[in-house]
Amino acid sequence: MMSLVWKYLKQQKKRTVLTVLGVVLATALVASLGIFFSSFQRMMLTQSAYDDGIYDVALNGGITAEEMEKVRNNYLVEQSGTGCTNAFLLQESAQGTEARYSLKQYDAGAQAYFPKELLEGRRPENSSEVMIPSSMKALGGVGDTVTLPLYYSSFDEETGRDVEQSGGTVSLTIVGIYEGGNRWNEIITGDLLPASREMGMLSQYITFKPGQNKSDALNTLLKDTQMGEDVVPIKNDYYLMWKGEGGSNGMQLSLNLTLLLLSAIILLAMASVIRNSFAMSVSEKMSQFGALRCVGASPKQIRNMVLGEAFLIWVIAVPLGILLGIAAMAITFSVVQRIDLDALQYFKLVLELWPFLITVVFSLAAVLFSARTPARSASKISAIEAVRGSVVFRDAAVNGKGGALLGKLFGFTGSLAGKNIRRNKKRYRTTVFSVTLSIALFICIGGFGQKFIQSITLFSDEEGVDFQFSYAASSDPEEAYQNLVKLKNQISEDPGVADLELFETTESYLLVPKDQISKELFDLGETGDHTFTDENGNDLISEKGSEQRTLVYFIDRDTFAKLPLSEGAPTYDELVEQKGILLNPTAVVSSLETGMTTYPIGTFEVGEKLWLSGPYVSSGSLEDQGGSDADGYQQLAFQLPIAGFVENTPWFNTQRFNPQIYVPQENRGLFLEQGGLVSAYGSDVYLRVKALPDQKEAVNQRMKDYEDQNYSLHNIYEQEKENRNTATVLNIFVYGFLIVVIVICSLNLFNTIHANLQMRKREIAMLRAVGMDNRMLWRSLLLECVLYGVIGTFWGSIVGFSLQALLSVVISGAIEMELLSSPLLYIGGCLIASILVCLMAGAGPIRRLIKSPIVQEIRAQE
Amino acid sequence: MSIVETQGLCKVYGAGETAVNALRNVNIRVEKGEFVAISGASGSGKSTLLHMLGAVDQPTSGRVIVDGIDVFRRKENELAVFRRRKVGFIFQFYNLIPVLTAEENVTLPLKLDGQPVDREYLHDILNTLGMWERRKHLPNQLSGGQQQRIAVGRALIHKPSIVLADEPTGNLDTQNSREIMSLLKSSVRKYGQTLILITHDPSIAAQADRVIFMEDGAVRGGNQL
Repeated sequence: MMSLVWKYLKQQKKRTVLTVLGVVLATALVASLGIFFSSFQRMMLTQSAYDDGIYDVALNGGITAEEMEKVRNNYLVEQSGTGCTNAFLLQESAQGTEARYSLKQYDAGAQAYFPKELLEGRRPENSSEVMIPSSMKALGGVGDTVTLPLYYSSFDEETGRDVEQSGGTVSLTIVGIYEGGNRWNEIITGDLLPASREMGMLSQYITFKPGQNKSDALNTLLKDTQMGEDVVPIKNDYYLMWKGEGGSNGMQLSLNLTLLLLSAIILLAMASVIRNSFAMSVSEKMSQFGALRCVGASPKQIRNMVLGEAFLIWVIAVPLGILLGIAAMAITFSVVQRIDLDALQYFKLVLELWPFLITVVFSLAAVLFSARTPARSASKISAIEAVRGSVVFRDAAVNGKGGALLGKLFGFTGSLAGKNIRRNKKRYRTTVFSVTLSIALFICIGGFGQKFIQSITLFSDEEGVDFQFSYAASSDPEEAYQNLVKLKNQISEDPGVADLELFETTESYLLVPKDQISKELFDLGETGDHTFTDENGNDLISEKGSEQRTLVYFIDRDTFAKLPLSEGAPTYDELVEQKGILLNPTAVVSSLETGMTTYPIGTFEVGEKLWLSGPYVSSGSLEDQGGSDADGYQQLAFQLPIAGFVENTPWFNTQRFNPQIYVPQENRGLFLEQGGLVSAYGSDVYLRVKALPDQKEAVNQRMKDYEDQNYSLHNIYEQEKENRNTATVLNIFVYGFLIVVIVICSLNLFNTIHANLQMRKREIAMLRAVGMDNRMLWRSLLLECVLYGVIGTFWGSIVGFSLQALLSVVISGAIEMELLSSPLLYIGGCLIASILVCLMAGAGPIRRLIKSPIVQEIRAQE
Repeated sequence: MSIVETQGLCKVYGAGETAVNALRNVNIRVEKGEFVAISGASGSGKSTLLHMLGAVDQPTSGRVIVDGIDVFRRKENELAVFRRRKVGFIFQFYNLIPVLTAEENVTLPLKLDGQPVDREYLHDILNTLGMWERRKHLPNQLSGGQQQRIAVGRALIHKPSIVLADEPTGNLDTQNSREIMSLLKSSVRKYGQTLILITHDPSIAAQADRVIFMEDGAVRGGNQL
């Protein structure tokens, strides 16, 4: 029988090839998804191992030596180690600045819990040996010894502050350098320092014996050892979650559900290809099956023949699909690895067994399930019907409904097309399903992916700040300012720098009186910082008005000169004299739908006195200067006059979501005098740098040289580059997935439309015999193809947007993002694309049908 | 006056050793209003000849002249117009369009021609065919005899000058055969049409004005008026 099955497959070579191709692609896609998810899981596991360690539970907060011993000997504990993580080394520079280095001390047991990738040397073996991260090479190389003062920090519950305690001076020999960028600035010893043991601020890391529920084991351990109240047990949740051993597994659940959902969609597409292909195949072979029945084949044998065809296709397609999946992912990973993206440092191709097992089992189930109905239909053929030639596959039942509207629009050819697409309910549904699935996936995955990418790249601003320096070691803004002035002078020499500004900044709240609130902004509803209504739409504005978070910039004469001031604004000296402020009363509201839009927050006039407040003023109390609130906090409210307006947000302002106030440096005291706002909030001093568009990468390399213990660099340029790279990686995955699914659906579409037309050869010949010319025939048949596209797009849009909503809920455990939609663009694009694919699917067979002699088709059928 | 004339009509299927001569130098003439039956054994070339007359198949050589027009000198689109206006074709296996109702199948040539349907004539035809009550049925809801009546209606609706019927009763029982023949004859008589019909049935051939006998792709007798 199998030889006959094989002959049937060879007989219908084209359809067999298309079906195998569909199964290969679907299998490859499921395998790729599995590989992707298992690689992702491994990446997260590796990352959490490097970040948090690979222990189950840490017992922190002053565990005693006796308690440690008890833990070690407990029957639930497989392995344990001791560490001290609250020590740091202090290094003073020649300029008198200080740098702190975290000193992690682990005994041999604990070291095994904190894997590091060694770049040079070896791991430390005792308390006087250390390994340092590659980012701290400035401290010394392998073989060097550093002698630095040691401190311990601890939290004082009475004062509620961190307390630092000296541990003397230690000499440590660098024996190894491990891979670590900015993430791990930790010096690691090979054992606990004697001073640390004496201080008693140790942590114990534990791994429980296999098969234990970690939470239950921890509770039992705490009970058995009667641990003191000081001990704080912390489960290594993130690591355990990725290891699949408990922890908060919301994210993993989300990812698993996403994997299942995507696999289900792919398998559904594949099942549709097979179901359709076999329905057509059975339909064409009805008389042959009938003949087999006449010569004694049992219904079961006939059914098994059809299922055997499906099985053979599966046997051919699955290995090819898995190999294709591996190859595709290997190529994708090699491309992804070339993208400079820190977050994907550990994203490497992982080939585990489970994705392939899932692929094999699921694809077999999908293949056999989808071939089941055609197989059953074939087995029901009666021998006598076959002999009489009156067998009709139940898929071929014809109805003559529809076409009225199309008849009115396109005349008789439209009416005929309308009737023809619905003539066979099952085949119509299958064809529309293929289009629907493609469109739905395109809208769902493509739209979702695009929104996700947009949310990553939304806030990038090519014209804005590229680099920001702040003074790291000192809390004194005066000192910080003076140090950054020196840096500013150095950087201003750089030929690639387009502009740079140095300023001190703080924040405040300004009162927008009720009758001056911007209607445009109010009508927007809930918009982050500028919310005038709560989630239920209730008005949040008090009788006095609405307090709006505002940025305050203390600027110098140079910066003032570059501000885009409104007409009639005072000069710098006048501003100092008037003790007034410059206001930019606008704020940017961001939305994935509209992008970034600038709105006024209210209407203000020159000369008007603004109510400003510090952090502890409650709504409506801004005019009550000097009082105290219920908790006894000083209320910091005061008034300053508006001397002029800044018309646009200047480039150096990175917080565009808030209005800004600009105050001459000389009047900084106003804020202190009138309520101590700056001292209450604290202020920051920043040097912000903008590079010339074509010089950004070169300037980036040079800016890194300025980063040392004195200056901390916030590299916005690299951050945005990383965002763009993330978007590229996502694009590769999202569109790669989409393209393959659409190809599968297109194969199905080609299969169906081709078979639809092939099975109507005689009928089409008849239409030509009674006088239908080629032009009419083309019009009618192409209209059928267009209709599939239009109807598929309609249903696909509905399903796609619903799936998008579902996916956003499913994935919400892993990624936070708002669900948005931009339907018209997507639907329009889908409509055009689907019509084109349908036309492509139909054009070939139609051309062949028209070229074929009429009489040949009539005779062939007779 | 002849309405149909063939000159040296030949048709060869295949090539080389497998070539089959379906028609060999066929020369026939059929007068306007004449009822001609074509008879002969299976494979004698009857259907091929009829297909050539109806312009649904191309000859290898020779000419078909209908109403003074050399049919195969026309382009494909002109042939389509010729098929729907000049000729009414009836096939043994009805060949109705399954998605169209009985009425829509009958009016198909008119719709293809973009012409309005003469409701009175349609009513007349369907009534004559005994199909008025079943005009809204799809082909798969009709019996073989009923489907052939619809096929006859489709062939007559455009009042073509020539009706070509390829064993129209070959698939029907005696009763239905008799009724179909009666309908065809009365119609051609009423509208002065020419009927060329293929049959194996001697009783039907006997009703014709003339019978052309074919053998091995050639006319063996009955071509004289």
